Amino acid sequence: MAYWAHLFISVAMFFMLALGLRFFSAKTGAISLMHAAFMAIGAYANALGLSQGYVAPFGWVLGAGTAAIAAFFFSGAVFRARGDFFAVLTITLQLAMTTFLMNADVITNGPRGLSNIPPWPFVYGPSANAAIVALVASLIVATFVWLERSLWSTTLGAINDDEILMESLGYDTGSLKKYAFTLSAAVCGVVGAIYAQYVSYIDPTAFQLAESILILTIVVLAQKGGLLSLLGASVLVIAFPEFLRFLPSEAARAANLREIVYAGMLAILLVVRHHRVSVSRDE
Amino acid sequence: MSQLAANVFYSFTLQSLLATAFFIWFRPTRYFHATHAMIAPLGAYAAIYLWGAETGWVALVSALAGATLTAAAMGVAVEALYARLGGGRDRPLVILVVSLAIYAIAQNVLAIAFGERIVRWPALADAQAVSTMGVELSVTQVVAAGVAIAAVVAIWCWWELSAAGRTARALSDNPELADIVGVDTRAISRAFAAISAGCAGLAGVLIVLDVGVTPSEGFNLLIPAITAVLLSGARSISGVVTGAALVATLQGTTAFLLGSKWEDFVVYALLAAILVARPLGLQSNATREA
Repeated sequence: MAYWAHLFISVAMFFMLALGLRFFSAKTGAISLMHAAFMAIGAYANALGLSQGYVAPFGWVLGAGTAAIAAFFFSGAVFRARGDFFAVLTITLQLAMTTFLMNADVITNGPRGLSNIPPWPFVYGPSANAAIVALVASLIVATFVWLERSLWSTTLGAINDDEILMESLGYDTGSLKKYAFTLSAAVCGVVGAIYAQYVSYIDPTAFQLAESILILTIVVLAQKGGLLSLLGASVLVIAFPEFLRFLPSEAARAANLREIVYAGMLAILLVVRHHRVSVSRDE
Repeated sequence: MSQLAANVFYSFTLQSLLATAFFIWFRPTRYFHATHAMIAPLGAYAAIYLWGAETGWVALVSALAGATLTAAAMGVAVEALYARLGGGRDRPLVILVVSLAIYAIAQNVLAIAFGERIVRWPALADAQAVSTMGVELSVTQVVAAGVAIAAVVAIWCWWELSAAGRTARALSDNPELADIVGVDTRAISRAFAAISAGCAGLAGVLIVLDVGVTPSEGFNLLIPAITAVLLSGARSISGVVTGAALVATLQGTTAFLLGSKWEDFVVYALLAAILVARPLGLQSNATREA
C-alpha cells in the first residue's frame, strides 16, 4: 500500500509540474528547462521556513511565493532571448542553481542537504499523504481550468500566434508572458514545498537538469491533448519505468534505466513528429 | 602566482580545444545542441574501455587515435539524425531538445557501464613531473596541453588556409548560396560534425588523463566552451581561442579568490549575462529567425 501511495504521489507531483510547464509553453511558445530549479526554490524555502517554526500551509505559500518572486526576477532577463537561445539560457540558470545549492553551505547545507524536515501536521500514513497531494493537485487543476477560460489566457494565445500584431494593438506582451512564467514557477514552488515535507530530506541532486528534462518529456508526450493526456503521460513517464525495479538484479540500475527509457521516448517522439510535420509541409 | 598562471594556461588549452570543437559545428549550422556534452565523456570512456588496462606512450597514442575516431563516428551518426529532422522555424529548438535526450541516454548508459564515480586514467603516471621557474606540471599535463594546442592549430590551418576550409567557411556564411553553386552541403556538414566530434572526443581523453571524468561531467565541460564561443562573437577560431583564454582566466581567478567550487558558477553567470545582453548571441550578422 505504501508503495502504491508513493507512486501516486510521485505521479501527482510531476503531473502538477508538467501542468505548470505546459501552460507556460503552450501560451508563449517557449520551452523552459529550469522548472526543477523553481521546485528547488520552493522546497528549500519551505524547509528553511519550517526550521523557523512556520506551519505547513504557510510553508507551501512561502514556497510558491519565493519561486514566483525568483521567476519574476529572472523573467526580466530571460525573455530577452528567444527560441533555442531562451532554452539554453534556462539550462544555464538551472545549472547555476544546482551549483549554488551545492556550494552555498550556509543556506543549503551544500551536498549534505537539509534533513529532519517536519512532516505535515495531523497527517499520518501513506494514504493520508496521498489524499493531501490529491487535494492540492485538484486545486491546481481547477485553477488552470479556470485560467484557460480567462481573457488573459486568450490574450496569451493570441500573442503566441502573432506577437507583433498584439503589440500594435497596445498589449504589453512582455508583461503578460512574464506573468505566465511566474505562475508556472509558483506551481513548481508549491510542488517543491510539498516534496520537502513528504520526503523530509532534500539535497541538490533532487532538482537537477535531468528533472527539468523529465518534466518536459511529460509535456511533449501529452502533445496537445487535454488534462487526461497529461495525466496519462505522467503515469507513463513516472510510473511505468518504476516497474524496472522489479527486474532481477537491476535494482541498482533502475534509476539509470528509467532515465534511458524516458529520454528515449522524448527523442523518438520528437524525431518522428518533427519529421512527419516536415514531410507534410514539403508535400 | 606563476603556478596559478600555469594552471590557467593548462585549463585554457583544453577549453580552447573544446570551444573550437563546438565552434566548427555551431558556426555553419547556427543551432545549439548538447552533443559535445555527450561526446567528450564518451571519448574518455572509450579510451578507458579500450586501453585502460595499459599505460605508457603506445597506449596513450592508441587511445587518443581510437577515441577521436569513435567520437567522430558518433558525431556523424548524430548529425545524420539532426538532418532527418527537416526544416521549419522550430527546428533549432527540436534539435536542442533531441540532443538533450541523447545526452541523457548516453550519460546513463555510461553510468551503468562504468559507475557514477570519477574515473582517471593516469597513463603517464610513471613519468617525472616537469619543474621550471617555480612552476610544476606533471608530464601528463604538459602532453595534454601540447596535444590540445597542436589540434587547435591543425584545425585553424584547415579552416583558414585549405580549400576545404574555404568551402566550409562559404557554407557557414551563406548555406543557401553554397547549395546553389553546387557545394555538397550534406558532405560538408558530415565533415564538420566528424571533425568537431573527433576534437571533443580527443579533449575527453586529455581530461581523463589528469582530472578524470564522470558520466554526468558533460555540461561542466560544454558550458565553458559555449561561453567562449559566444564571448568571441562566433566569427573565427582565433576569436574562440581568445574567448577560451578569458573564460579560463575568469575560472582561475575565481578559484584563487573564492575557491574552486565556484569556478563553474561564474561561468554559468557569465553565459547567462551574454545571452541576456545579446539574445541572439554575439554574432555580428545574426539574422536567424528565433
